[in-house]
Amino acid sequence: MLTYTRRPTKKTHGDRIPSGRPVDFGSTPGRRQTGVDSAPHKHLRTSFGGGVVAYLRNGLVTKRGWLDDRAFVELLAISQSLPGLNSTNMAILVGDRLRGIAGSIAGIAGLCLPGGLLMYAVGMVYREHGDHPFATAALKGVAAAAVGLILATAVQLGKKSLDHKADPLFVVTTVLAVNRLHQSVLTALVAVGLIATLYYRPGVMRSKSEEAHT
Amino acid sequence: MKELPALVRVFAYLSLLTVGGGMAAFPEMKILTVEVHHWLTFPQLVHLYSVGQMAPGPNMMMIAAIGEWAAGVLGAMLAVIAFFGPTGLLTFLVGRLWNKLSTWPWRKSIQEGLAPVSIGLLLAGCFTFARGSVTGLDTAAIAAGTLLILLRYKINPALLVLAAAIIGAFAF
Repeated sequence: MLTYTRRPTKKTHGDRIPSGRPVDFGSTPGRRQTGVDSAPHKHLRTSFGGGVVAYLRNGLVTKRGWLDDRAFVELLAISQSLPGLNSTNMAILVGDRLRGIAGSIAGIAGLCLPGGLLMYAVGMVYREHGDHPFATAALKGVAAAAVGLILATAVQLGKKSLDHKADPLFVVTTVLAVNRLHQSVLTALVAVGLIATLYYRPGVMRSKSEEAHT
Repeated sequence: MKELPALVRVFAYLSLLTVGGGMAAFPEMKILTVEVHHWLTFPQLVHLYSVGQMAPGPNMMMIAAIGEWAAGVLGAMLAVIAFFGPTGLLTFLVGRLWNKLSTWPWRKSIQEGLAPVSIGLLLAGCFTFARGSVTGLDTAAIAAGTLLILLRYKINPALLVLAAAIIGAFAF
């Protein structure tokens, strides 16, 4: 889902997801608001894909009252620490919390069905008419814009979650492993992930990049 | 029909690579769907992914289209189930064990360690994607323009994507 709200960023050290505070997560998709900075919500609007999370919070906490903010932030922390898309992981966790396994299945189905059906249809139309010169030209523009969009997401995620001085090194190593050394994503993920996890092993204090904290 | 087991294998594997978001799996998705299995061409993959950014819900629902191309309606369903199944199950189980895990000291280390790696994978995916979409000065200008506008102004990116489609249709 394409919803985008930007806030001034402010770093929080340690746990990336602060919890246990009443927080205001702000807007729903499509309703943007002016930037008032309060720390925790920035984790919830990670990016364009993160718009789904803001939407989930609005539905689950504000409208339905199924979860309080503390539980929501906790479940989001789990979602972000595991492979899988944040939004689908959230749907599974919230569904389980409310109605067990059936709730998880209902949650993920409700989240994926509309977009899935739409893209199924779009795929068929594109296969038939995608080579029309007009469509090709428009798609060329769309694909170029998507690059800008993904880079903007990376910049914002980087500002938010790269806390330590060594982090840029891990970022660059991962990129080079995949794009230059042509290692599989799995190899890069496991190898660099393992080294970085050991680097941040329990009991070792690592210097933080203070200068970035404005 | 013979593509169905391959679809399940490929998307279940890709599922486990989506650390920090779907784009992390993109380089692998390109290799497996385009080069290994020939379900679609690289420009088609780039186009479907781009259009998928505007669909409701998770931005990876374009995998339904890939499944449909490879093996019809059953292919679409299996691709989606395989893509969300393994990580879904993992999330479900970890969610139930979380109270025990939350005091585990390595949990924070893993979180700290995976943060830069997931951004690296996002960038690697982006560069792979850009090879199929930024092909000249014109497309580079649109990509750079979109990036700068998004970083500078609060604007719904769907509008920018729409604008890019209109510019593309008339200029390219």
